[in-house]
Amino acid sequence: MGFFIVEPEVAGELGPRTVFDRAGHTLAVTRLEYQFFGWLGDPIVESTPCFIVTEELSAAITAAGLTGATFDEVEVSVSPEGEEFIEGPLPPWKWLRFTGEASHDDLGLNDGLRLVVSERALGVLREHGLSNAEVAEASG
Amino acid sequence: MNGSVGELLAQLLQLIEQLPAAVVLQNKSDALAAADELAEAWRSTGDASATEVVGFIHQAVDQLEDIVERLAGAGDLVSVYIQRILAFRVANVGEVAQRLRAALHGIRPEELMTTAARLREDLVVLRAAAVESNQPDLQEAFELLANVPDELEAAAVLYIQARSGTEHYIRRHSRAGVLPDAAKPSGTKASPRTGEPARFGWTTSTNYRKTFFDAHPHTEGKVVVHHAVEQQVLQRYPDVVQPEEMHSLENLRGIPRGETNNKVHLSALRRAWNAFYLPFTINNAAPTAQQLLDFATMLDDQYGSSFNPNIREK
Repeated sequence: MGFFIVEPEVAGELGPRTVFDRAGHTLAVTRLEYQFFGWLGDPIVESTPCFIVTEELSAAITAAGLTGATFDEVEVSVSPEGEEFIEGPLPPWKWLRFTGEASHDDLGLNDGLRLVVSERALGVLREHGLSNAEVAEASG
Repeated sequence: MNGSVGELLAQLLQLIEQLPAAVVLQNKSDALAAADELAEAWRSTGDASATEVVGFIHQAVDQLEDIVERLAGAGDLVSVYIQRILAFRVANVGEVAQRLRAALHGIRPEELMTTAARLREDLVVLRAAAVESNQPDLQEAFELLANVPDELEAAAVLYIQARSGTEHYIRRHSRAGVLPDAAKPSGTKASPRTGEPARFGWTTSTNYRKTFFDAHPHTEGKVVVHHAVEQQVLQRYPDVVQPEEMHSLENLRGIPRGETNNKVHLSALRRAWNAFYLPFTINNAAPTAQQLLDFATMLDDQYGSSFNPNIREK
């Protein structure tokens, strides 16, 4: 089964109410505020090391039975810059958390903090729009 | 045993000598080849910005050169360690040297971080063995190796930065085939900062839009105020940049409103910053303020001609 590295649109920044865990070897986030600065419209966006998806996409991932992911609450805000550039209200979002293994489960985060998805998962993402992401075949 | 140890030592020293050149030259060659290819493509279209593009990539490649120093430092430490081990003639010297050699064998830039982590774990085991041997000099020898994982990680951060910066630049522009069609800034183009590297000033006001429009009143209503070094740096890396620096006029840029190109440019800026943060996030490390400013300068070079006031010549 083929796997792909997906680099989603970066629509914003980690907001001031984000809480970090700095104790580990890798910087982690325990509470997420995703602050939108602009949005080109994709249903999955990131700000390393966090990924968020629209509720609609999260439901589709669950319905498809894709492995390796769970969903958590995210606080979404819009910066003054975002208010200028984003047209219309934002949809509701969920924090995409990873529970599986990259290149094994349908969704995973590799050691380089890149999103690795199976062909099936890529199909689900593309079905909901992946116009502004960069997708490449995962090596190895 | 002396023979096998001597062989290992020779191999190890040879590997260390070759290591920096192999790591740097291979990627330098890749990057310069890409730069030349782009330059040739753009020259044929008569695009005068080709020189600027090549300059950018060369700047990224120069960053790779710093890896030489770090790996050479690691190599020096390993050499010292090997010499001391030889002096002891301890029974497991061959195994120890073999493990160390394995840790560095075939090292590739993409694996610098992994190698550093593996070596760090090995050092815990080796230090414990040294303590058991009850030989202070042997313990001291291992202590000399303590910095090697840090050196490798520092090299990895530099490598990833240079690589991702170059890759993103090439990807952005090769997709469109030409340099972005920068939006024409409205109002006066006069700016005291044209061509200057990014820097911070100091302000006690957090009302950055007022700070910007007080300085550039002609742009009010025409631009969106954007931070060159992103605001999230305050959260990601506490104390590296002060809020008084973040919101200073020197760190603010005016992005013309209502131009589709600028939404795309801002998205590209955010993606570039995201790539910049990545190695620091992986390594739970923080960039210096100067590294942040250097990256902001790189992005100003790329997009500054479309800002208002514009800070780069078209």
